[in-house]
Amino acid sequence: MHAKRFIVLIVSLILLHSSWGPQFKFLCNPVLACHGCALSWFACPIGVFIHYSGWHSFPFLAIGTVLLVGVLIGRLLCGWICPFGFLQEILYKIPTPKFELPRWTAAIKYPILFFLVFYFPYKFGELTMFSFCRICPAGTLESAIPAYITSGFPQSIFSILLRLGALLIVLFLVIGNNRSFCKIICPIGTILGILNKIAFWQVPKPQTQCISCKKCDKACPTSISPSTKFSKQIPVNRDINCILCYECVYSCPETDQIDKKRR
Amino acid sequence: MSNNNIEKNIRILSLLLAIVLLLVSGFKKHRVLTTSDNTLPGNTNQPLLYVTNVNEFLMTEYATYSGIQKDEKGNLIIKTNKAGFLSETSSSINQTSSDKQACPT
Repeated sequence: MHAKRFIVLIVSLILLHSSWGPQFKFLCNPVLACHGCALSWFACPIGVFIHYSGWHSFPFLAIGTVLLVGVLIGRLLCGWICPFGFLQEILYKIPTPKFELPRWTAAIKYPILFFLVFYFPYKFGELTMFSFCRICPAGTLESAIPAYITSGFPQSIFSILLRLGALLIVLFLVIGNNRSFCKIICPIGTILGILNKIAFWQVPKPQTQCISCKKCDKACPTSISPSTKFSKQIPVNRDINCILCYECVYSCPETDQIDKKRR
Repeated sequence: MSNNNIEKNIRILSLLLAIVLLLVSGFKKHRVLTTSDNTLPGNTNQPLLYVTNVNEFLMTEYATYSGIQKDEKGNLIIKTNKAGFLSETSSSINQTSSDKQACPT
């Protein structure tokens, strides 16, 4: 991880999750950070979508915010602000056998977004067991586990098992495959990833022919193979899984290849 | 029309749509029934019901702590105490207190 990004991730983690900060719970910050956390400054757009679906109302503010951020900067916040993304990259450094995910897993995120964020809450209400908040690993870490510690376990053993089981599965996945949660599950990442295709912000293309050293491919946390995009002169962040972390740019040995003015 | 132009147009349209949605959210009001929480000390057993127009910002904030619930008739309901302040037990309409702890959202 590049030092600049590491510092930004640490600072944003502390700044956006600190009790002394202001409360902007009426605004959505499009990263996976649970608003149930007492230290959180902003609302989680997924939690807001789920509640609005249950209320059968249209979330003008939340959708407008996510759309605006997505169109302007795509998934930039996933790479530079998201606390759960940061945790995944830290966990991936644990020396264990690494594995590749099958291709079909990339499609899991779409039904998760449709059913667990919009359809089931719309059908069964915002407090349904079939909502993403019930299995959200960020929510479990930031809100549910602290609540279990301070207030005791809830009566429903099923909800505890569901939450902790989902968290364990996600932790197992991210230790073996970097940012796998972002690639195959994250609903905010899915929305912003679609908007990556049209975002104003672009990772700069190489100015000269790529020498195919593949260092960018090794540096990429989401394994989107930036070298193939560079060789085709396509902006890397047109890929749905690109989190605009700029690791490919920083790792490029031919520094003149990439227009530094746009870094 | 080339692909680049299509992409550019979609980008501009999406940006305009986002701005429109944000502008609408500035004016949008939600009709919500407010009820006094008769479970709180000092409140009467007969809950008072009155209509409140809640703006989008406040609705988003309510969503962060389940401040609004939907009843069987489809009405959105806020529970307040006698003084009109939001009740801390507002999210307990369909939940036990232990369930509320299990899912803070």
